[in-house]
Amino acid sequence: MLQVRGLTVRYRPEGRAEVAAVNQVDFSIASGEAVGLLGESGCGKTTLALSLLRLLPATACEVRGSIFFGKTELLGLGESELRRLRGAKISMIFQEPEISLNPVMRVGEQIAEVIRAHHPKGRQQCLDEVRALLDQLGFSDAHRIFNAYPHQLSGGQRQRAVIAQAIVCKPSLVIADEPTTALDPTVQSEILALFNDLKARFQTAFLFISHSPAILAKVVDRILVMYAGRIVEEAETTQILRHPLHPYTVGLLRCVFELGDEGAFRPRRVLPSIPGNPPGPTDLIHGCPFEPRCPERMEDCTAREPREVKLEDSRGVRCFKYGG
Amino acid sequence: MIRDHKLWLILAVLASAHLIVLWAHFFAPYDFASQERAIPFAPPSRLHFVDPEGHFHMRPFVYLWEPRPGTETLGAYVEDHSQAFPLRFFVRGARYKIAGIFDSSWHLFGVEEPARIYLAGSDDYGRDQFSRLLYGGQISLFSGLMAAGVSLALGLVLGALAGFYGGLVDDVVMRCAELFLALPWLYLLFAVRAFLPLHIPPTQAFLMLVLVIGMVGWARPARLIRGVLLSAKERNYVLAARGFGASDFYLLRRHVLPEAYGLLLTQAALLAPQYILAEVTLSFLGLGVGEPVPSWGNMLASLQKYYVLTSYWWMFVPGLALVSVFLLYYQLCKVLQEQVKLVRF
Repeated sequence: MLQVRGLTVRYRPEGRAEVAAVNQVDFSIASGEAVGLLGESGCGKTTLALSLLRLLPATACEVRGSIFFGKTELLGLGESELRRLRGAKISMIFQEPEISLNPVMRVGEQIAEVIRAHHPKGRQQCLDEVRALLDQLGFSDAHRIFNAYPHQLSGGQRQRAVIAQAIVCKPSLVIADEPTTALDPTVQSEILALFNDLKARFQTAFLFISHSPAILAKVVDRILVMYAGRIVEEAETTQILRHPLHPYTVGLLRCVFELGDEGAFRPRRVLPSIPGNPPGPTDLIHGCPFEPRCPERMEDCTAREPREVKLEDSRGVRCFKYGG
Repeated sequence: MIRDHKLWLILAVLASAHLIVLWAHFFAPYDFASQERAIPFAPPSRLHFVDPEGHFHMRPFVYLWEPRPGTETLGAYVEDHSQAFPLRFFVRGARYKIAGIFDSSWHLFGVEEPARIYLAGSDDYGRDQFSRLLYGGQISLFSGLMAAGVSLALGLVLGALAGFYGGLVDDVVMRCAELFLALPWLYLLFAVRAFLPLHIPPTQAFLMLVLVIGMVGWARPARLIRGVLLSAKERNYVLAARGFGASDFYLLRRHVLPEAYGLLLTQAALLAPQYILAEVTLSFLGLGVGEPVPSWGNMLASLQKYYVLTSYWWMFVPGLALVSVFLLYYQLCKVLQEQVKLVRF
């Protein structure tokens, strides 16, 4: 349903040199599929998400490649066609629900506005639809939420309200940019359960962006690992957890999971991390971008960038260990 | 949302001033052009309660002014105590039209002819200053208010375009704004006024004043609104709404411009008195509405004569009215600004 080929996004911040935030990215999402995008801060996850909706800021000077949504090339669409698409076919849940709701509009009304932007329905009808949706989303007191202003809600309630905005028009793809980062662990798992529920109920495809493999493991079918604007590994969730290939993925997973065989939780005795920092957007990269931090670096690594190696269906990796 | 009684008080006083001025035909005892040449510069009528015999009357009364015997000076008058003229309410007087349709001749108060009641004295043609003050307020107060409306509307549109779209639009609009700000507004008004014919009918003169004053002053509100919009458009919920398919116009209307409304209110309260003063200045210099139609500016113009300035204090009354209106607007500004702050934070 969504096919991204060779997507490159370059920014030119005022008065500084051009930088590529997303570099030659290929991936696809089938309808109804939940895909995770995993990576550290600043690796281009949000830029990738914004470019799917063509919401990039004006400093993005170059967007190359192709994004096919069904049969439509998104990069070729005009502003009014994009408007019809956003929210109706593809919608996005932004980071930090506190600030993605207008503080001076009632929550119910803000959700209803999304319907009104796409369907010529009366105000009352829209409000009724929103009430019904809020009931479905597991709000215990949907009526209060409907009439509340954002500051009167808890973080979890606000996030649900934003989710309601995103799915109220039943889009076929929802992009969720770190939807649980700002929440308590208990609320976090409630929201994740809600996503799983929505996936089953609405047949919506999700692109779930997170920096935590633990969170992605709970909701997505497939994971794309992103590093320095490139997708370095792509695999089914179960595969990637059981048998990660790319040294970066291995490092990331080791930060979160410990292989225990007795089946009990225990605090980690050593807290591993990946030494060094991801390259900044302005840094020049020779060869593999992960090479300076890679525990398994080889001679080839600085010479050129590794190519993507397709290992089997839906499994790919960019590393010289596997042929690159 | 608004907790302050002071705001309502100021608004009520200002609103009633505007309403009284708007219904000047009723509240003024005379037409603005009716003259009494025999007694120019008559001082304000004295309201008496006690007659020469020492009897007290509940209903106040006035006497006729007659020139003081043996003096040649203008405006030296004594009261003729031979006949009293009681003050009456809801009397018939000069005819006028309500909203240009209904004929009426009712006035709030008046005295029987040949006496005349001058609450604020009369001018060199013996015209009632109080009536002229009310009629003049129609021009002065409303030209200020309407010019502020024109300025704010222009400023809102141009400032919103500049702030929301940025880039070339922003550059062009803001450079123009700087040009307008750099020009001294009074001379700009003179220049614009100089292009237009000198003698034009009062309604046209009024509309011309409103348009000229309003259009010259768009730059300041435009700059302020642009500033507010520059930060307002960067809010996350604006991006989120765009992501849900909102159009530019919708974003402006629902998410971005509301942040500038408080500013718009205070600007209105700030600009209105400034523009009243602009109208007064133009009319004072004879570039506004012409005689016999009064405005507070051309009423004050008689003070340009030295003997008027020194002898007839009641000719300052329009100035007094101006100062009170300005003080009211100033207070309104202050209270509004506090309220806007309260609402925002």
